[in-house]
Amino acid sequence: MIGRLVKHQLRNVLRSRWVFVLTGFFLVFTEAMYQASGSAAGMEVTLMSVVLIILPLFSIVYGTMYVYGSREFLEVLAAQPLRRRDIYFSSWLVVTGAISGCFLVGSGVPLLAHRIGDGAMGGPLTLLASGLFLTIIFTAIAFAVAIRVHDRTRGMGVALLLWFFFALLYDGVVLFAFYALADYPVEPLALAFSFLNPVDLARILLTLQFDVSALMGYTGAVYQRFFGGAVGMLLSAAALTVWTVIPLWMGKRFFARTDF
Amino acid sequence: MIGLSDIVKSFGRERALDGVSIDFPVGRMTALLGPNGSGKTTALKTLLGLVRPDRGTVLWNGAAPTDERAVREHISYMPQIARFPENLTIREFLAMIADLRPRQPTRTEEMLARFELADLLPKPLKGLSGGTRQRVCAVMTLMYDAPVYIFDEPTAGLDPLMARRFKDAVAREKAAGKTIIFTSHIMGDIEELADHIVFLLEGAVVFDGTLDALYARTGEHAAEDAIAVLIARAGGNTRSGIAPSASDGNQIRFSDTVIDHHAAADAGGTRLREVRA
Repeated sequence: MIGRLVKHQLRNVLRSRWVFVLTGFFLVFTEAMYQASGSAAGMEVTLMSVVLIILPLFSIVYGTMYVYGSREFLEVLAAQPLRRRDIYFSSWLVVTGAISGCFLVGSGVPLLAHRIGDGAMGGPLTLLASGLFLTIIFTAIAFAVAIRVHDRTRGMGVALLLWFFFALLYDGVVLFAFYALADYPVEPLALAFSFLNPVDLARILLTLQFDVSALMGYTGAVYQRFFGGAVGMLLSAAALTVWTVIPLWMGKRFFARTDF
Repeated sequence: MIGLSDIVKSFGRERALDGVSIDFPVGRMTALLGPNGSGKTTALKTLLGLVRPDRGTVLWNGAAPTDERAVREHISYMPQIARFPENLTIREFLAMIADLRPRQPTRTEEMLARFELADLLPKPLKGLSGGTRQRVCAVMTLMYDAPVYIFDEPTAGLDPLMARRFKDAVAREKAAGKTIIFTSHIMGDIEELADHIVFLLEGAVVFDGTLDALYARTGEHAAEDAIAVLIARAGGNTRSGIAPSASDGNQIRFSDTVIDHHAAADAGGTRLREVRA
């Protein structure tokens, strides 16, 4: 049933103008960065901020708006002989699939095209994978918030606050804490903290990939040693998966209990 | 066949339903009436599983259903606010509903003709007026030959011709022995269609019976007057009540829901000389 629900809802979403606008934005921005920096490496480093800041922002804003805008339609669906679980997962899949698609096509095409020559696919693939994960996670957070908070304005406020916390504030707080504790060996703790924020985790993976970790001094070296190994990679992939599952599961619970 | 048993539902501090029990008789048409905010829509939505009650049970065949989905297979529901995926056409939307329900609709063409939508099928839903959306909603509901129909203020957005056609279609279902539950503020619809009235006020049932019983209880012969009397009496007897003014023993104060102040005062054992806002 999820498949059928996805088919019909996806048809609706793919006819929206924003799908083309967003794909165009990624395409033009990525190519412009290549032209401006003159190298594929420059394009990839610049695209990091899009993946870490803009993509989560768009995902959380659009995901929240989608739920509020579709409330009456979700009511029509919930009145049919369907499982609420199927309605919830299909709606989320459509939103996350559409945004991911825009990013993968818009940024993926120039990213991969400019690397075909030298075959160094590690950077582009890490960028695309991180973007994909962050889209999945932030749309899931958006769904959980918009289903739980009935008031549209308050819900959007909470969603934006969460984005602000994960994308910007968290780093500042952690940095301040480490600055205050500079005399102590806090590097292992820094590692643990990075798992508590998906944006941080993606940032570290990308930083290591682009070999700029040397700029981070001893912490960079600790990260390099940990994430460079198979255990680190597996753990970070597991952490990102947990970050996807928790908001999705919460959203599903909220959706099962919500009143239309 | 279906009903609500001792349903309590609050939204924040607002109590929408306060121990509501209703039996919707099989093969009859029940009108769920009450002022705005009295809990009509909440009661309908509780029946459908769209609102989760804090307490109480929804009854299907006299017992709490084990599978909500199976219950909804037998119900065709027309919501109050019609909003659909904007970029789908009417044809695609109706096909989607048909695709999601286990049984296929049997009267799509007939209903499209009845509500004059056949020519609009390729149009996207986003360009449609409120009335046309309501017609789409009517087709979505009536294209199914369902044993139970639930309509939430179905004729509110329809023009007189379409409202007439809608009522004719519903009357046919009623004659065929379907169980129909609807809410409406249009008294003509109630007098014409309903044979069972449930009146809600502030989340509680204050009347449950036939239209004739309502007339007999109130001494009126028109639904509008009978309902005004019901509200007035309830205003005199319920928690909003008629409260004597603190400043002057010759004045009485009414709740906001009171429409017929004279009847309300009568019910409270007082005769009014003057009514001031």
